[in-house]
Amino acid sequence: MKEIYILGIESSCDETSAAVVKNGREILSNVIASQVDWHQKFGGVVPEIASRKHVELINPVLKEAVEKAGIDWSALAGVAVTYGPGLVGGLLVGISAAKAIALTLNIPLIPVNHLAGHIYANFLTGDEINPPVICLTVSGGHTDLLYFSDLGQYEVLGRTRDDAAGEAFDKIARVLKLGYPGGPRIEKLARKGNEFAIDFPKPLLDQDHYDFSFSGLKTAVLNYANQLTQKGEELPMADLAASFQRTVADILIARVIKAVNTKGVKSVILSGGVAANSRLRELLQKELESLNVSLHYPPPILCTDNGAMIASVGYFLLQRGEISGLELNAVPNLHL
Amino acid sequence: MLVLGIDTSTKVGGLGIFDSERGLIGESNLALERTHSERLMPLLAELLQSVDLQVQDLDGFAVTLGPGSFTGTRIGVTTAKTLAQMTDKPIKGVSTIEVTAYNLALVPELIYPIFDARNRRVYTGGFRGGREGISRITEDLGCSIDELMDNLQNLVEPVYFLGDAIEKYSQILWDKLGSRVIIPPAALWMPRGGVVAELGAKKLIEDEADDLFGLTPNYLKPSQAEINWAQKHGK
Ligand SMILES: [Zn+2]
Repeated sequence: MKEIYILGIESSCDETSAAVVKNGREILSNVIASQVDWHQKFGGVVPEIASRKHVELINPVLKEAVEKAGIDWSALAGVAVTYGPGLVGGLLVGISAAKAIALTLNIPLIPVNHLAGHIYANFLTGDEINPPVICLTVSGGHTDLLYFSDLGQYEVLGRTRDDAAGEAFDKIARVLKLGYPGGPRIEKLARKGNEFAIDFPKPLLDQDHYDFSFSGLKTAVLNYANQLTQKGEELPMADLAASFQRTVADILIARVIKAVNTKGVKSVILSGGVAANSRLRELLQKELESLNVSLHYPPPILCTDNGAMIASVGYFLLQRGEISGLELNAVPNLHL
Repeated sequence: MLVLGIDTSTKVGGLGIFDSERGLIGESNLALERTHSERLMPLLAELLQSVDLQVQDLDGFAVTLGPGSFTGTRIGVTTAKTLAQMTDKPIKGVSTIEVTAYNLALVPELIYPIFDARNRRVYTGGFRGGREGISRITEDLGCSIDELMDNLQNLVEPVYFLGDAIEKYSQILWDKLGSRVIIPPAALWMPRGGVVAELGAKKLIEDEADDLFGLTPNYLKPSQAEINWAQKHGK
């Protein structure tokens, strides 16, 4: 069998990444330049700063990705790039680089949906996962619940109507002065707290659809904190973090279980940055075990935005001839 | 030496191929509604095909660094840098203002391109033309049109204006500078891909290549978020 090397480029948010993947599943290199340090003092990703950093980081990242893979540029069979969803300024940097590579090497340009990338990150771990599956993608940028049966066959069951789950973590962390990114910091603090200390609302949970809403929860947490501060009382930081985290987990898990039951699948995939939250995994695992359904999630490095997952999707798209001309544009609100 | 010039820092998308032996051999300058990201690379592929060249045949790359549209400039800069990286050839960044002033290189007077930067601000810079070509008299700068007028009112010479902000501010120019204002034909107002390539070739031949990984757009100022943060923290 001829070996097919795909270069994957990802620049949709605050990681600049490039990777070389062999035959869709074997990662030869996966270079990720995180911009977290530059966004930290602003408490979240600043799009203009992200775009500027992508321009600075993309070429050294590309160089390292190809060098680490131990191949020549000429060995590449295609260049896959995230074209949405994401921040338009960042997406355009990755797309511009990808086009220059495709033109110079005369190889196909393969446009990849970032969300498909997060699903495919799971196929890079060696786990045996047989679709159909329910896939929950939660990060600072998305909260999407999907039914996935085959490449290109996605059914979006639900998504957030306001903030992404990870965004809620970041905002709460900012108010509690925990710093950025919020996810890991809240998780750490929550270990010392009581998850049931404070009762927060779970918006939309009684509804018939699968959509999420986190802005109401965010407001409730902020109000709670403000009231105590006004009374001059000390905030029960650990309890607050634990109760908030548990509420988010309950909201997410309820939707997943409902989808598992309705669609009758045997596996669930958890992806995106929030998939790294160990409490969420633990609680979800327990629920799924009782239903005899397996839970899969990628290692932390594949949970964050990365080029390898883009290259992996790119490989399968190339097999089906789904490539693009050089007129490819960014689609910031791209859906699956 | 064959140099490809790329400019996407204004609404014009410009490409040019300059041969140090034969001169300008191909050029494309289009101001269309479609975004730079959609049209730059198809145009490049087309231009290369028209002049029967491949990316690998090029000996160097030149690109406008702005000041201009942030997003537009990033597309051109990333494209040029990646082409240079792939072919292992030198790259040179040039100023959008200088490239535009070059359209009047032989005019022995003041030349001030002005590009719209919104909120009554312009990107500009002062040059003087002459037999030896243009020489720079100010740095590229972003300022309000009023500040620019104040500065120019102190002088007595005629001023040639270029750039996309002419129409928007022509009344102010006439009011403040009167008969000193000279507005050339509109075909000379905007940056051209051929000029980017020629200027780049000259500089690359003089061995002034830029460091590939260090080359970034000239934004002229930090992002708004950084400015706000600095103000809030008194720095
Ligand atoms: Zn993501």
